[in-house]
Amino acid sequence: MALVSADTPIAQLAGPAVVNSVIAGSDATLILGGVTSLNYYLLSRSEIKTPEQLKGGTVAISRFGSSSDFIARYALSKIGLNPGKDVTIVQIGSTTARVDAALAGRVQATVVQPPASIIAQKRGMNILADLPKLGLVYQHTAAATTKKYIREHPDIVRRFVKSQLEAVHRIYTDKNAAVRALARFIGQTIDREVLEKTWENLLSESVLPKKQYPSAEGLKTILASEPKGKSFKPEDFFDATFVREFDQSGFTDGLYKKR
Amino acid sequence: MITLRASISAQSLLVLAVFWHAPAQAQMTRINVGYSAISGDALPAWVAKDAGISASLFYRWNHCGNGAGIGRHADRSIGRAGRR
Repeated sequence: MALVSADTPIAQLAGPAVVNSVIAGSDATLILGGVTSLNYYLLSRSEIKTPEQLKGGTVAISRFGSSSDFIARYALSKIGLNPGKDVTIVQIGSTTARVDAALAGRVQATVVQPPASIIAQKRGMNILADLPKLGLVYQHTAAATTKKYIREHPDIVRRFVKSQLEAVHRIYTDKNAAVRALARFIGQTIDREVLEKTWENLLSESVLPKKQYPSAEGLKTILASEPKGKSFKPEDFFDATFVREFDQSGFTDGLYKKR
Repeated sequence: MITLRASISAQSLLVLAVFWHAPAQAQMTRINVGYSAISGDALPAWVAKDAGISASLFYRWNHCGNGAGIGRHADRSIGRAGRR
């Protein structure tokens, strides 16, 4: 991960990207919890309806070491398949490329999240594993910056965190605003029903926590899968100073009292 | 004379109005924020921008690809699918 430049000082990344970066020696740190669950689905081609039928097939991920890699291996093990033995994991790239590869028959399954998972189901793919139902705590998409940037620009980071807490509140309380934002950024051509389901998928404290503390338990899950993770603790990867400030001042609770 | 006085007063009010708003404008901070994938998980970021929740920050969201986020200049098309 390219770090420490003034151009893009804050980024929304999956937990493993920050964990790998810190393990490699960077001073990256999570400042918000973002999404703290695996909002993913293992989807197979239409003719593959059971885990047994996936044996001997290939499963597409973005790249080795990514969230999709972790998620695919976790999901496969949960449905009784041994990744690397029963199925082959291949790097395909983006969500769109993975779904296209599965629909074209170049792979037999992939892991994707809404709205791609909803669209893929509409095009005939089957859910072999529903990750949210498996209940794994996982630090997924969250905002990160560097400790240097926090030292040099604490006010900007504080304002950013505040805006994200307000945005999470808006997601919980204003369906139209949330769906409108999804349409604008994901695509105006996507069915309203798909966008609404994508929004509904987020509305859970286990998926999108209102107070937005980074998930220490979720980071433990990631560290357990990292060969070098044993010498680190979850607190090495996040700085909850700002979310705690807004929590303890009553700001975050106050948002939900106002509604 | 009255017209001149009125004109000066109007100009003074205009100058006052401009400077009255200047501190608020100056407090807006432009910041580039990266995101790694087009998915529902990025919704808080998009709602913040789309709904005008700024906390005095002017956001520009940059697609920065998987794991390449922090600190990298990645001013790419928002329509490009990311990797996860």
